[in-house]
Amino acid sequence: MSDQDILVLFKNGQRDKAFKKLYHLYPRIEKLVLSKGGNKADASDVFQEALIILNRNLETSNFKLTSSFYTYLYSVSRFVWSDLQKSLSKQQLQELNTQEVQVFQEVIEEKKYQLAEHAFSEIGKRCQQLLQLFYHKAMSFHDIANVMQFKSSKIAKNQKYKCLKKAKDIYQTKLKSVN
Amino acid sequence: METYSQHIELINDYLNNSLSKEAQIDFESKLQNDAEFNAIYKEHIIFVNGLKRINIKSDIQKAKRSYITEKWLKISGISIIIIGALVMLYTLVFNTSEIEPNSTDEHQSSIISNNPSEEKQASEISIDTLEVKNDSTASQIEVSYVKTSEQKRFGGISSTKIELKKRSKTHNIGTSKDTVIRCQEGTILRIKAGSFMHPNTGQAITGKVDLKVTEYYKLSDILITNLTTTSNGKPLETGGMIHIEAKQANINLELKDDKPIDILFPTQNKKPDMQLFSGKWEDDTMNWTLQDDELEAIEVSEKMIETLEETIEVPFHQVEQAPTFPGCEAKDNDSRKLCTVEAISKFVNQNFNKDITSGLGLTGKQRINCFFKIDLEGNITFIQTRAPNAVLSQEADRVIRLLPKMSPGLQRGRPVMVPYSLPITFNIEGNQNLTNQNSRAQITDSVIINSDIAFDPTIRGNSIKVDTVYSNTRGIQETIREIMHDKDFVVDSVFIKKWNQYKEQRLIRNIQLETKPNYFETAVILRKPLFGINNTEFKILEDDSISRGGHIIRIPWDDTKIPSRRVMKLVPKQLFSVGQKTVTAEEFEAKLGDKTDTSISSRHLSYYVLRTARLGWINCDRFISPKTKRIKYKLKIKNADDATISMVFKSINSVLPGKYNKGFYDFQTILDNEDVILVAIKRYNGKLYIDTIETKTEENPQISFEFKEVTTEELKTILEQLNGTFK
Repeated sequence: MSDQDILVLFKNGQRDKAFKKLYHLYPRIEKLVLSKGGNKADASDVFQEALIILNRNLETSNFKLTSSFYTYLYSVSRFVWSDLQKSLSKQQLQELNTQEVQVFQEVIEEKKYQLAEHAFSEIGKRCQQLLQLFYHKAMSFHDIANVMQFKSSKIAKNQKYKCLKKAKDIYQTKLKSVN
Repeated sequence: METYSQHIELINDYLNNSLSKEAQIDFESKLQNDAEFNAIYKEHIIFVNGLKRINIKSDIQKAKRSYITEKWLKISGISIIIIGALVMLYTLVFNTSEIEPNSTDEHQSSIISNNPSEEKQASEISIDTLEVKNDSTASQIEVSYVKTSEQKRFGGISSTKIELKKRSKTHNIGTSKDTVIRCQEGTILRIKAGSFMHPNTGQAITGKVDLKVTEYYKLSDILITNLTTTSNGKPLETGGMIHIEAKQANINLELKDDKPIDILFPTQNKKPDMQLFSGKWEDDTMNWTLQDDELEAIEVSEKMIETLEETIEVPFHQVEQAPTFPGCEAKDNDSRKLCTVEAISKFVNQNFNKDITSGLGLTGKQRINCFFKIDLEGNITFIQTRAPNAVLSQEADRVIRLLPKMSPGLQRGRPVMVPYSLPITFNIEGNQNLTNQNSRAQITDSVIINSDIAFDPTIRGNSIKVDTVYSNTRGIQETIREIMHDKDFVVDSVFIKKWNQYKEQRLIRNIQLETKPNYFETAVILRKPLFGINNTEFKILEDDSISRGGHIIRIPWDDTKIPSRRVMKLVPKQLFSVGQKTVTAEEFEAKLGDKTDTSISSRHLSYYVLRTARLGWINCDRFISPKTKRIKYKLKIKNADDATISMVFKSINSVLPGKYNKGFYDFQTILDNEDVILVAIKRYNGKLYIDTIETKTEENPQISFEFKEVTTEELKTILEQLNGTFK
């Protein structure tokens, strides 16, 4: 299956199928991580992170895949791993070309999202569901109230703010502890 | 609060594109002008993206699962076909498959090799092996070959009462229990239960395993095997080399990553910075490469603080069963307590380096109040010391950190955290005696301080059985020094506490600084008040930038300027079970060890304790630091005739290979003006020749060898005479 076909899958919203195809590239990425001293679990995490970043890019309209998926995922994975290991020296950073800088910044950016994700994982199942329905499924509060059995859409709305606030508080404390 | 939720609502609408054009423009200008609003917007974006990750991840997980099932279906399909093919092949080529194990066997014996290389030149190893391989179609010849060569070679050795079997000894060990092996020349191997796995499938191996171990400590053994000590051309100093091989049913096994073997290399004068290297033959020369020492990394401080929060604490004098210093076991609680108190005081006395007090301008009686806790595992944590001078408390920190692991205190049978306080008092003027008073036990003890800071296990004699484990560490001490731009900055526990407080108060903060476009550097903001504190340790440095508010922005030094600390840890020897009884490792070793072998007494030895997850050639080495001048060393030898020439250093345990190239023996870059012995061995027309020359290294050396014909026995004797060179 060519890169083009995979792109089409992404465009048609068949994301999971596209990911499955991309997983054929995993053994090579795994080799990369293993050669840099990681283990299999690390490799799996790194690859997942690379896929997330790729997916995020594909969703923005101005992103063009200039090379093959493999090349792209390889370079992202490399940065994800180096960043994880904090192994990039200042010198190496300076020597990056513009494209690599772009990738590297995406990796850094993604880390913030990751933190937010962790924050969500701590706010409880129901809160998570509520936020997902609102942001991901773009449901109205009325529908959400129905689905989640709130008494009114107003309560749903209120709950949503509370959940978001809670997540943000957790996020902030996490951010502090990271810095 | 109301405005906040309004903001969020607005942002949601904007992101959903449900704003009117006007409102959209309004929104965008608000983003630009209202910093607070902008921050909320940015944060919200992060959140929406974070939320998205959860969805993407679940998709990816789904994809991964179906990818893996697909792959497994394929593999199992293919493997069924392969197995079928193999079965057919096996029945067809039954004879060939019988020969195969034989040839690997032969290969093995050439690896274990002080054997084939013994009286051979490296260059000839391959030829000899080749010969054997030719013969090995009939397995009997192969065996007899090995036998004769053994007799020839070890005739010499047997005069020193070492036999072949002793040299590369095979230990048959079980895999269900932890095992300790004490080898002939003192190497101790600690193998955890279930350490071995099949090299291809990665499956754990059960049942008995044959472990073949060959040790190379003696110079003669090293030379005869043509082993040298270089790592990619860089010279190493060795603390012992061994070759380990694990086999079950003729399959070479590998170690599991998470079950490394501890190797204890015996040594009589311990040197710092020893590391493990793995070896590979490259063109007849052994090349050693550093094993990644991830395995060794010991995590510090943060973990300790975590466990601290949830545990119960019982003070030392109240706890039902007090923590026990290694060596104080097997007595009733009171005497065990007393022994431990005594041992701790003694230990601190012996290791506290009083020399550091000179130049501090301190006189009279000094008192350092120390406080630490012995955690559930018996580790020393939460060290806090207070002293009139930070240098003193830093030293006290260091010494207390050195305390060996104890057995933890027990309350109602369960391990508890035990706080312990220990005042160190001593006089600076007058005699050299350091007096330590422990208020609780009223013990006064005066010991002359050893100027040698390092703790020497032999001092303790037999009372305490400890191993010393070295590791590299970077922790808060290094971080602080990096930020303070001072590699000798005194960081004691008091200062670390203060530092953490400052961080909490946000007086010290890490930021990302965009020093060049798109290039971020980690920097630290040191806020103004820090510099106004009485007796502040903070100074404004030349390279600092000062913000408008008067705060200092500083880029920390990188880790090259602040070297990692080499930390020594004392760990009590582990306990092992023999049948129903529990014994110390030492007792266990004694059971295993050969009692008639009196050449090495393990009690008088200390060890390099290192850990490997790989088998094969293993070397305990350190890089030789280039303090003195280095030169290129090339020897031109006329009558060389493919001789092997090795250079043995007298001051360090190092052997360098000479690489033959166009009439020259190239030893590459080496230390100048060093006492060395050049050992040249050649084999010519089936005869052996040797010459050794003692010389000093210099540029353009003029050396010629007078090769003497020798028998294998004579060769052995000559080489053994050199053994004194290696300590």
